[in-house]
Amino acid sequence: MEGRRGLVEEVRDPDKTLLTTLPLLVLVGLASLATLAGVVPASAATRGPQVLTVSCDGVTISTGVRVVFGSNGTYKVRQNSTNPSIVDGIPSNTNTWAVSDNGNSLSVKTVSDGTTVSWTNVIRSGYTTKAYKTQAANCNGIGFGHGNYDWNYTVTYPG
Amino acid sequence: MPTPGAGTEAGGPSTPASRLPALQGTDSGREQSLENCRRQAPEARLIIGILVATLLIGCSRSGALSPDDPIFKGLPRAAVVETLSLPRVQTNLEGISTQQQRSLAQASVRTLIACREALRVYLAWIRTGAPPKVSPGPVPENPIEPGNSAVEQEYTRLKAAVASGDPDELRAMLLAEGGCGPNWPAEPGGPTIAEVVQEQGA
Repeated sequence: MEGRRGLVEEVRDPDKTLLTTLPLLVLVGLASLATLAGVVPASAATRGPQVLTVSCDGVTISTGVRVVFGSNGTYKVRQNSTNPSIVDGIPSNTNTWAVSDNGNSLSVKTVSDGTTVSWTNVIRSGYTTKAYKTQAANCNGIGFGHGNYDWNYTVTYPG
Repeated sequence: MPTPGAGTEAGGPSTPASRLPALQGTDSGREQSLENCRRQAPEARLIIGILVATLLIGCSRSGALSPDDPIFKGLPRAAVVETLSLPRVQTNLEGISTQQQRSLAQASVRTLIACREALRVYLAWIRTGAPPKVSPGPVPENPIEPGNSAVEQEYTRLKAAVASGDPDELRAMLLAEGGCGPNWPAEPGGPTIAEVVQEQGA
């Protein structure tokens, strides 16, 4: 009888009950965290601001930064500023896109000073930013050729 | 007063290297010119080095990749020729280093093959109700990174979409940004993979 009573008392002992249930709480907590990690999207990473020299001829393609996605998600390019920003009334708007490491391209989008373009549900890969001027302009004054402009941009991608 | 640097060792060759030792131990003017030469030599070498490097970079960037390039060994020649002829691929290869070009060009050929395989699987799946087995694409003799890993991920995604049991997953993959659909013709000179998939309805 004593043995049986002792067993009952042990189970009802608050300290021992806590000791028994603590591992269970830890397990539940860890499981919740794991569920959250699966549901909550990975945080976005940013590269930039940085400057790329782009030709003003409206044809030549410049290659910018390469980023590696941590998951599928949204890719954004913001044109922070350009220098010169306007030449002969023509703004330094930029056509930009990205090429994945295996050769798939995103669609070409046009970005202007202070604006952002984005591509949603982009498949995970490494992506290299490409850019060229939307419209030819003479950024070179009396010098030869069209000259260049500084494209100050920032990319955001799934980290 | 001798012209600095113009003297030659009797019977010796008239190269700059052979002239320098001959100038040593003569009059003070020659010593001065030797000192000048010593100061200028590293700069001259640097300038020549920059010029050579610039020429090499210029030559390597101007040269288009040939289907006979060793990086394509192990890949079907028809796919290589078709891939290199696509304007989109040519644009993608513009303005990048030779090493990047090699990786991207090789990966592009493999992706064309992988994407057509994904389309074949999708079409067979929605027609028969069961997905056919995914055929692994050819692997080049010398796979180049990072393109190699990216192509392997393409096949992994394809197999995962098939394993999901839902052809809509494969459809979404084919139509996604950065996916196969908008990028590759379903057959040489034909409509894009995306156009063929969209013809099938949702």
